[in-house]
Amino acid sequence: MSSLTTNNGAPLPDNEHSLTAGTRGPVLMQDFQLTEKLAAFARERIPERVVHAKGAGAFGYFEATADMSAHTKAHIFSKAGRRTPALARFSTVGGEKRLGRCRARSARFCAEILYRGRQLRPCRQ
Amino acid sequence: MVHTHKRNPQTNLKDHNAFWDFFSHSPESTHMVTILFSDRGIPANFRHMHGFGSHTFKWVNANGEACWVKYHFKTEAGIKNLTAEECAHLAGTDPDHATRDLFEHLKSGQVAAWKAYVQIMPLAAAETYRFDPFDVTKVWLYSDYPLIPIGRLVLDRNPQNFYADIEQAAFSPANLVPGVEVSPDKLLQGRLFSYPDAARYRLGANFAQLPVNQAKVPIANHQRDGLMRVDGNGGSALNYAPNSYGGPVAVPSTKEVPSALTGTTGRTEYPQASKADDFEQAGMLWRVLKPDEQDRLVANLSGHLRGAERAIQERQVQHFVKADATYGARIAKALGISFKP
Repeated sequence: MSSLTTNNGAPLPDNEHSLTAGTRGPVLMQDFQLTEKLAAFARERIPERVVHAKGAGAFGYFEATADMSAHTKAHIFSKAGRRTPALARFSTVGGEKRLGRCRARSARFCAEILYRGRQLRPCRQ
Repeated sequence: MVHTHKRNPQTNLKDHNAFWDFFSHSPESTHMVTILFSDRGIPANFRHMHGFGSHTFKWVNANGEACWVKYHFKTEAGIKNLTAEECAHLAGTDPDHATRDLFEHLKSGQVAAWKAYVQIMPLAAAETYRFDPFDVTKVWLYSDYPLIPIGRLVLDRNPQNFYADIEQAAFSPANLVPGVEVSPDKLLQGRLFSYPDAARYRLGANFAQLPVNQAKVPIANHQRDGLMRVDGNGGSALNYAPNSYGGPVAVPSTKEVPSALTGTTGRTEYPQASKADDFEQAGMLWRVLKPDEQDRLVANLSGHLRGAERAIQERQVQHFVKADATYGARIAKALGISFKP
């Protein structure tokens, strides 16, 4: 079992009780383990994407099935059988992260694919 | 606790197993879980539900005499709840139904109102009351500390701009006036820091200058600068104290009432934690529910618990058994768990 630690690596003496002045007293400011935990919790959320907010994704690969070097010098299309690692994310265009899709009949689905850091966006609208 | 109500870190899906894993390891949550899965867990909208301040505060009168209080707000519109089926339907057809109800109700010229009450506990009684009065997982029984009417909360005006008026609003239990002080309630103690801290992250260091958050009295201190400072920043006044040239001074008449302390610093349970079990109040609630209310509670709980592993279901059922044998037996039966009273 690994030790529970603060973010600077110090072991936590107790994960259930804050440090108080006596059993009935107020919580002490010297409980830096607590303030670290509270401050981290308050900062968990980053702004959601303004568009394409709700989505899901997975890792895989793109496999070229033809040599397209006559038309492009792009490495990933240069040889049949060449595999390039890929990450794809599917999302709604409009709408919000928190809402379900039940009412989003007008939502268009989009797929963004990241090949080795370059982004292509085949869109079906 | 909040992490178990959100999404699984890998699947990004709601996770009933995590929800019940946490609660089954936190028996003090049994009362809250019972309320959450009762009819009152799904209010029909914002107007038809009561409010409860949860935390214990200290009231202080002009003579410096103090007492402990808990706030209650009882809706004048009466309680109305949704069934689980109605809720599931609304989640698909109008997930904003409660927002819509409040806005349209106020727009039509009507008001939303709650009668406000406090329970008052003498300072010394905190040491001997059988439920720790600073433990938010326990309530003060009305029979011990009855509701005393203090006023009425009335909402009669819609926001003009949702973002400016509501999204930028920063609530905090540290927004206190002289006459209202804090208690050693540990959850309150944490929130005194974390609510304004969350606002500093979400809205910025000068969130208190946003119109909706602005104080109604003049602000005078030695704090300066920071992102989005828009209030004149103290002008030419000195930004240090003490100094030889004047400026705002402290108000000793607003000093907090002293609290006696005993013992040593430490990480401990509430002193009265051992006097009352974590299940008694959940059992009291079960026994005042009408038969049809009990039926829905059992259906709601067992339906949700089915999403958890068997071992977790069995551990959680033991909490309901300890609250009330019938309550536990009915959940066990609904889940197909063998149960011997």
